[in-house]
Amino acid sequence: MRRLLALALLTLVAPTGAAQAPTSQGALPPQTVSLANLSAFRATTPNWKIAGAASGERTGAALTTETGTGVLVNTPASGAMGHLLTTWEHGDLDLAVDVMLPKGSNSGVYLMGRYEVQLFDSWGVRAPTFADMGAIYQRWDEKRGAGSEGYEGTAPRLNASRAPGLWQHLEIVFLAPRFEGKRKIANARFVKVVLNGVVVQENVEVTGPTRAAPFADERASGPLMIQGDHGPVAVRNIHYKSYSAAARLADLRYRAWVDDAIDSTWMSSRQPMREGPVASLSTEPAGAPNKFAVAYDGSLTVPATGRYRFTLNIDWVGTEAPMQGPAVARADLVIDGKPVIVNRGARQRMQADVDLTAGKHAFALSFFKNRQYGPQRDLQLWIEGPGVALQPLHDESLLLAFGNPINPILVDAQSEPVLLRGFVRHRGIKRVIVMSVADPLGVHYSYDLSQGTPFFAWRGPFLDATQMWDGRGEDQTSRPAGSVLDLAGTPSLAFLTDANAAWPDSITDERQFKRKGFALDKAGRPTFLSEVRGIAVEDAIRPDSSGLTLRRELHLRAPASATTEGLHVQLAQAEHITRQSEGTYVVGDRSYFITLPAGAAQPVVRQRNGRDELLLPVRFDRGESRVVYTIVW
Amino acid sequence: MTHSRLSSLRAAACGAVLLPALASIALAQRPPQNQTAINEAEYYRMSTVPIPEGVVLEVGGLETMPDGRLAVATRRGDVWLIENPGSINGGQPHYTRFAQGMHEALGLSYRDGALYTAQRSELTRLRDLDGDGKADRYETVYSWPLSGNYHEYSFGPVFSPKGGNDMIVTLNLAWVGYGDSFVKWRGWMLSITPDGKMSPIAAGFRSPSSFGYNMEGDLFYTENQGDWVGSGGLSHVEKGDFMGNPMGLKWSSEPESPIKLTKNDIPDTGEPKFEVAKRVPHLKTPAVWFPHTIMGISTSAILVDSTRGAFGPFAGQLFVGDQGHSKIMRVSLEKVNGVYQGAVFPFREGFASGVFRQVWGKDGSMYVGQTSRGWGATGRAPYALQRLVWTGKTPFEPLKIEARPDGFEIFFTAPVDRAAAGDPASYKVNSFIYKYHHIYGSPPINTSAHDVRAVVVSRDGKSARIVVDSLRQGYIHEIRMAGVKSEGGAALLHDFGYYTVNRIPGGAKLAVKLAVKPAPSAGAPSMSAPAPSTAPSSEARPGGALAKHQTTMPAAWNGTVDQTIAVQGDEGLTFSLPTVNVKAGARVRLDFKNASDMLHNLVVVRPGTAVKVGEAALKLGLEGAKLQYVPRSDDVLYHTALLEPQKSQTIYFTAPSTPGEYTYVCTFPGHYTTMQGTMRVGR
Repeated sequence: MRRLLALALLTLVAPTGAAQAPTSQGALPPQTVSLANLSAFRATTPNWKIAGAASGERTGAALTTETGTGVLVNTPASGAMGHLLTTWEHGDLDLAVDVMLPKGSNSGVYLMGRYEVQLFDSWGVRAPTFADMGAIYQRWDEKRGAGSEGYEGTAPRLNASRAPGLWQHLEIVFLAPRFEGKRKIANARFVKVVLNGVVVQENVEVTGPTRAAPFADERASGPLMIQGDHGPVAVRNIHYKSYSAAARLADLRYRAWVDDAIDSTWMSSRQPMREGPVASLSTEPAGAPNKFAVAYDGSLTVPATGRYRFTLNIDWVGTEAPMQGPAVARADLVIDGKPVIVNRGARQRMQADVDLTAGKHAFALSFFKNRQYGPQRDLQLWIEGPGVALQPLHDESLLLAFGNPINPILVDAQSEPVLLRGFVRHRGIKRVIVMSVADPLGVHYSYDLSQGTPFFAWRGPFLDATQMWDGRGEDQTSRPAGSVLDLAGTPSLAFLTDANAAWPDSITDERQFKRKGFALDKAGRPTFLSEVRGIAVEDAIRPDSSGLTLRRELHLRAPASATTEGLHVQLAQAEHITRQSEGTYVVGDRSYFITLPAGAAQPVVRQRNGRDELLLPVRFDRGESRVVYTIVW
Repeated sequence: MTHSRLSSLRAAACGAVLLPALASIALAQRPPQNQTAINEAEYYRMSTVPIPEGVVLEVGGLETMPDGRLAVATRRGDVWLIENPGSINGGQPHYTRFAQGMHEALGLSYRDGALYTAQRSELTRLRDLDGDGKADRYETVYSWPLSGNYHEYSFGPVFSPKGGNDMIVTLNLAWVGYGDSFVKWRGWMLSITPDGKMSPIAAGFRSPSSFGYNMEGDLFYTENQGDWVGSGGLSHVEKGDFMGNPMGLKWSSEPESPIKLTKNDIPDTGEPKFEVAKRVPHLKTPAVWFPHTIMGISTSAILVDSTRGAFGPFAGQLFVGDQGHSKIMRVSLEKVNGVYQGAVFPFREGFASGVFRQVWGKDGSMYVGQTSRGWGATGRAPYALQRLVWTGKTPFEPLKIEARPDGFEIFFTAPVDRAAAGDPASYKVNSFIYKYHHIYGSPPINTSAHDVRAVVVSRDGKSARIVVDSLRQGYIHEIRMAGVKSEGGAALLHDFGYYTVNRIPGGAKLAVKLAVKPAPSAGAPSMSAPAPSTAPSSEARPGGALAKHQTTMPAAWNGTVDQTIAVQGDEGLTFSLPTVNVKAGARVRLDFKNASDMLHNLVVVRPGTAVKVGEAALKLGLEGAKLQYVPRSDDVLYHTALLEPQKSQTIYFTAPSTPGEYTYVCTFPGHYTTMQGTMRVGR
């Protein structure tokens, strides 16, 4: 669950413009390292154990474990602080892993046992360095002289780390060094490091092993390693794909048609207007932006026998009716004469899996665009398979987006809070009545004014408003620029007629919830005002003084005439919510904590429709009630 | 960068006023400022309000505070208060951010200590309760749903001048290749009380960015050309009116709706709107049509001259901005048989960006708020705030036009030369109208020339009554008066206007001896000439050479071309390709696609002549539409037709034999300064 959530966020924060390559969601399933026992690893010291679960407090320097399987836990002690190395070796690697650190801990993921991505409890660090979570840690050379031994460390672009005791998600795309005989001809490279949904490293070359690596040499392959000698760490969901070869198109020829009346019959029934050999796939040979058809023929060579996944994207299929359908678009991918993907214009992206033998196959791809409006004309085809990394078969240099650079419009809070109304995409839906609030302390949130609920919280940079403010801003969205915590975004206040009544997904009736605007305090922070069946609500979300957490206070005032019976606050909704200790609840797959002040009324965890809800009945005292809780992540 | 360019524009304009001898030198080094703007500056001086670095003042709303500060709402959602915007006593304007974070605030009004603005999804009241000069209450007065389409702008509010605190807002249609209403009240005008009670007033709006009241307290709005709108115009709005775009009628079944029309009640025949209005009750036609490209291309703010003469001789008239043409027009209205009608005249052009909002300063000067993001404008600055000040000199202008049973009475701002103004040959009158249909825009149709049969100049010399053959009810009448001179022999600053005759008044006709109906002469208006089936330049040239507008492949090419070029016209007045390369003498096929939501053509011209050809196109006036805005000129080498949004055309031409950098330009009025590309002809 944690993994899917983070992947969804990865999609969310990816730059818009050219369509994105499929994330792990749409790609072939990875291989999984079994954590039923330690058999996937070389023999090591007893600090490494298999557990059923791990957890930690925000303040504790140790992890608590439960018996079972599925989680690796390292508890270093004097005489037992060995590293953990896989029995298998890898070269090029895509890696996804969940990690948990207790307070103050330090570990690392070493690709090929040599090149480290740093794991560190960096919660709250303002300006991360090469030694913080998500950093590429330094190499070390005594010969450089005292004070200069460390070199080539790369700090993460931003601090995307979460609080101690929570699961964090790390994804790495890594290229092994290349050798000709014994001579190295290319350095190892971290193509991408994504921490909790945001890119923290991109295209970082490393000239040799990290300081603490157990190997001093460089090779074409090596074991994956988790560092054991620095501090406790829990690890789970180790998924990877290891690569060695590429697929390739050859002997490509194209035929192209351009006409106002273009449709799917043109490619089969009309003489092409242009044709000839061509080096790569794109819409370029059409020579027209809007009404065209192109058909390609050629061969596709794959390196190994196995199941290959094709992903075909035609970006002129839009979301509104005039921009989709069989009159607007069609694309057909045919391998060895058999249709693999037939896209009749209902959606942009389609995928299919095909079993192919190693060697050459007949390849054909045809498509047309007949759209009333819009410059979109990019076509993308990706392939992935045994030993073949997800790779484009189209020519990325010919994508239209490359010709139209757009200057990003980034918004940040300087000395006072920044408020920004606009559209924000949340779980694939455009929320349209949204206020995003940036605090100079560096902690921000997005709040759905029409539902009276926060749905995103994050630290670091605030918003990318490019899609709202460049030109007409046709998407009209802004998106968080930091690592986002996804809160449910369901309404916070509702009346339940009985203990089993459903919590509403959204409220459209103004009698149930009416937004009234907001008031700013002296520092410029908003308190949202609304009315729920005659009860006045003030909703104040404020950062703590260190800019790490968000404290929410709902102040309700009910006139004597108002009915308060059944009014509840939903503090959280997730697949799992558990009580960790007095006043502390863990939400989701250890995604975040909710804490309540000492002595506060305790909420209840209710299970309904496979979801847990943290609910608090609202008790009024002389017509007033205050509900206070803090979101910690 | 922007600031220095704006100030050089200002310097150029001032130079023309103060140092005529130097003006031509100054202009030679500076961006082109056309002669009309230079002439206008003698009477209405334009100055630019400086904007601090980092303040993106894309003006969406503009209001004058009781203390003289300007309040500016921006498309990025801020409200700025500007002290001393006119730099009185040489001081600098001082900016304070009053409010922030609103979703594209496109209107601003002050009332009782609060500012009101329309965001995309609500009407908001901004108040400063603690007196620190910044809003600390953002109150939702009334809210409405959004579908998430970018084009769902909301405009206003404007307070009713007739006492009370009711506010008017309007809601744009969404744009998905055509205008549509996906959520309630899109395409409507609403009235909202300060305590949040809403009543829908009228339907049928397409892009109602601006509205306001005249001195009589009647409400008007301006509409932009588009689907169901043949040309821009100014319309009188009353409760229960249907303004013409039927997409919003899907909400007419709501209980609050004062209109019961449905979309099926609206015929899509392409007849003139006034004809359809005879059969469709509540369908309202404009009080004054603004002929597209001649009187702007995207009408915006309405400002009634309430300055009682402080702004010059036009008290009580309306000033209407134009976003795309960066100019302001002037309207004189009258009521005939209970129906508003009147004339639109040019007033002032040459603004720095797209004119969107106007207000009066406390001193009777006019502040003009501007933006061009997403919609290109002739003034190329992305945003601007400018001030227009009457110099005290009265321009010699047609003050107003009124309809008479047998013609018009034209009033002037100064006494005329009786001989010149009394000569029927000093006037030309043509009439025309537009189609009413779902298609974007319309060409002028049913054009007709009218003879001026007699003229009587008033005793004071300040008006001329012209007798015109057969006025046409429902039609726009172009009235040209190039021959009229002032007593001192001066020409009119602007010598034409367009009068919409909704009703022909009754009453006595003029008892004068009518001039003999003149024989058609070379000077007859081009409108009356038999219309060629295509623009003249598309006729084949002698010697088998290709036409300038060659839409079929010449047979002699035997079905092959040397080179194919695909160019599209994009949003923001750009061509998709800034440069194309062709070989001298090559046989070229050019596929031109208009991918934007405006009208465009593509005209290839000789090196260095794009501005010249563009200006010639601008001067075509009514004839422009017929010629597709391609002037008859040797500088024009090849061209496409004028294409509606999403239309394509292929033309064929033989590339010039002389290498060089040729220009391709859209000559649709207002586009030529921005929308250009280079055709490199090489060997």
